[in-house]
Amino acid sequence: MNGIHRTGPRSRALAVLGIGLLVSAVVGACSSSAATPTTPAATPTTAASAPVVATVAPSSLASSATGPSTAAGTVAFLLPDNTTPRWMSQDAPAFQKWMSQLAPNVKVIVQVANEDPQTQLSQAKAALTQGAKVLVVTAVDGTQAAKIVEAAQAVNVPVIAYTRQIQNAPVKYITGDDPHEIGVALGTWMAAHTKQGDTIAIIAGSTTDSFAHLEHDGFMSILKPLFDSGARKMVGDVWTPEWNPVKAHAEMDAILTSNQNNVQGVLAANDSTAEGVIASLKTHGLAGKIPVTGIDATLSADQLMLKGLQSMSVWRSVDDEAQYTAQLVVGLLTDQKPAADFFTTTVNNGYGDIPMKSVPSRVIDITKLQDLIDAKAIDKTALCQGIAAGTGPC
Amino acid sequence: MSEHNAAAVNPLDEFPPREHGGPADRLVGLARRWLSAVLSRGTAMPAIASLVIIAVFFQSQSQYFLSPANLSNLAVQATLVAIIALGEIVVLLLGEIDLSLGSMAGVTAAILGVLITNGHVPWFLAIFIMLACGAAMGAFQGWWISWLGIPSFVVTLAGMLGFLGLQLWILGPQGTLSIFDPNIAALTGTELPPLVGWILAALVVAAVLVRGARGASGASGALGEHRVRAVKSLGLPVLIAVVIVGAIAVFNASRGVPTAFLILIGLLVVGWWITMHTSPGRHLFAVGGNAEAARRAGIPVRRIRLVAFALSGTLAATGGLIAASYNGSAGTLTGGGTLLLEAIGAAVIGGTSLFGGRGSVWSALVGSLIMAGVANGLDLTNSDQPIKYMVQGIIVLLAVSLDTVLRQRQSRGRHMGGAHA
Repeated sequence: MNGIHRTGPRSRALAVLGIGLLVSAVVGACSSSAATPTTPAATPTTAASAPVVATVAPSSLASSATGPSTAAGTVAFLLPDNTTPRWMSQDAPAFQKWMSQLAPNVKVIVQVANEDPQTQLSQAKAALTQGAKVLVVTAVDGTQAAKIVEAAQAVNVPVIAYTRQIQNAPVKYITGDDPHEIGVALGTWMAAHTKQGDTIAIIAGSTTDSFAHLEHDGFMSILKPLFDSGARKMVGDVWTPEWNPVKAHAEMDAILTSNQNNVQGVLAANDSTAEGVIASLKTHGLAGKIPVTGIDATLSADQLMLKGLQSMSVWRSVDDEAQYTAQLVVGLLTDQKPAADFFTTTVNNGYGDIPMKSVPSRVIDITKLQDLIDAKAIDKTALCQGIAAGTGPC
Repeated sequence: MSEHNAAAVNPLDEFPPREHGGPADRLVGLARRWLSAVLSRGTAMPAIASLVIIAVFFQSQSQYFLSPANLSNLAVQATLVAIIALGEIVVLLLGEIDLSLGSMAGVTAAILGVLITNGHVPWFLAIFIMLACGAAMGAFQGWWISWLGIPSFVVTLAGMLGFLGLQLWILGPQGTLSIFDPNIAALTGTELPPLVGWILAALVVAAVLVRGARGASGASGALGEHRVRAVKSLGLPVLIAVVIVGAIAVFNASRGVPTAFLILIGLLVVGWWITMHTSPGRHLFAVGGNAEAARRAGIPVRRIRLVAFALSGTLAATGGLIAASYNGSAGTLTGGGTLLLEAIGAAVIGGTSLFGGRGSVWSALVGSLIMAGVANGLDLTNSDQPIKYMVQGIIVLLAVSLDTVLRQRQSRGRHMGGAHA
């Protein structure tokens, strides 16, 4: 009624809002379906049998063994977003540190795309214009990033896929986590910490994130046989939009309600969903009484472990990954091929078999938090804030 | 409720009761009139109809949907969206929009986390500071909108981005701050003891009924008209009393009334009182209906706008507090994701106009119960994520369409009634 005669700037602005929301919804839906690899071909070939290794393999690249390289030029490090803390707080500084140690004359450009594949493509092109000789890319969208590889290939610049895979493109190397292996570690841990006949709830990650799907395949490879044989019972297997703890909380509420709290273990796909799960368990009086998994070993998850509310998390050293990547970059700049045993596996990304250096991951529980402090992954003062002395490493 | 707009013309005033049949006929007539009196008063009524349809549907799909335990979960899940929606409604009534509420919730939650976890500030002081920060951020945006005349869409879009940056900056490299303070956790993690819940219910029901009865006895005029007035003024209080008693019974059958839900209801009652019974509240509707006319009538339009944005900032901070309590932490995702869109959706589904001048604070409650109810029902029925998104989209569209269609019909009926009189 009021709206009919009002065609002022306000209603126009609202129309723009509506259109904007529609467009972003469509784009979001398209990119998410594209970013979701469901082909087993994308799974690292050796992942299922790969053990979770704890030690850091010594470098097998000549460049780091013989002191700083004389390599020069520009390298671009393209990161996906600002909302995930690790990119700017850990990956970028670690990569810059290793580059300055291994090749002090190389200039490193760091760019962050605001979760937008178009922005990332523009940033890649800008870096190539500035004369970048290698692109290290954590893709916003693993499929659309093929365009970045295409643009780089046109000027003979190799691309290293960092942490996230790039599909259907001639990527030079891949470094990063092996989500399938991490999933296997979660599934194995959960199987070991539940008994015959126990019920397990699965709070999986974001359905638009390829990592979440590979991880899901990983833990299901362990748990599905148990569910099929009746050794364990699955009560819910839910995806969590954005890995958002608020959503995970609501999902866990629903599972507890429809099973009258009869749940003996929760496989939460990362620390963020674990946080929501634990909050829900608190309301239902189950927090600390049943095992809850997670991955990333974030500070708040580590504190939840100290409080006895989260049982475990999986940790990968960002510093290791940055080091391996820097070694590969220097190798490319100086035309040195890495030794064959440098790579841990190959990944078929739809274009071909790409050599991959995966970062070892390890299970962290309250008894291993000291190791994270020793590795400078977390700060002891921050960790022990509000925690009773004598608990774990505090 | 829209007494403000709808009270002026009411079809019932034009039609004194006519039937002189048996007692059964009278009873039916009375019930019909009671129902239509209630319906004509609430902007949220079509949304309540949607809520009932959703409840029936999901109960048929999962026996747990209407179980007391699930309804308790649902009430807490709806609270966060409802508080943000309430903040949105305050500015929607003005015909403005605030896109920064999610980010403000996130910033203030981060401030709370830093104060409590790193600064060891007492919880009540930390809450006060976070609410003050929310008010200041809202007022800051309100100043750009009211004094410089920049469209609220632009200012709050800038605010959404800027405050998100501020949130990430405050949280620092670790990204998530755990908040273990038991008082903060208690806001969403505890329930009132059942007895306290009943005492509270008794007090509120008594207050509502006394107020309704006073309105009924105050009515005068012809016998028929008197009866209609009595029915009209008692209809809503009786309905409210029934709903309150029912809700308390359901909550007590589970773990008791959730503290968070009680906070929400408290905010809604205060919001309702301000918007319906104070002059600044009425000015919101006037400015939203026609800002120029309001200005000529001597209403301080600029100040009203500034205060409204400050208020919505404060409510965003309250949402941030609830979110921090709900997850026991303040993180980069706090206030993010689809929260803002869900809140705007809840306000509109509940019957508040995007174009100003029409709406009710209660639409925050009904709309967010619909949003959370659908999400919860889809969780309970183990639906796949793609199905969830599509169903949620369809529900938003249908709920708003139902609202619009019923409203058009109502206003047509009103015009016809007027012509006959």
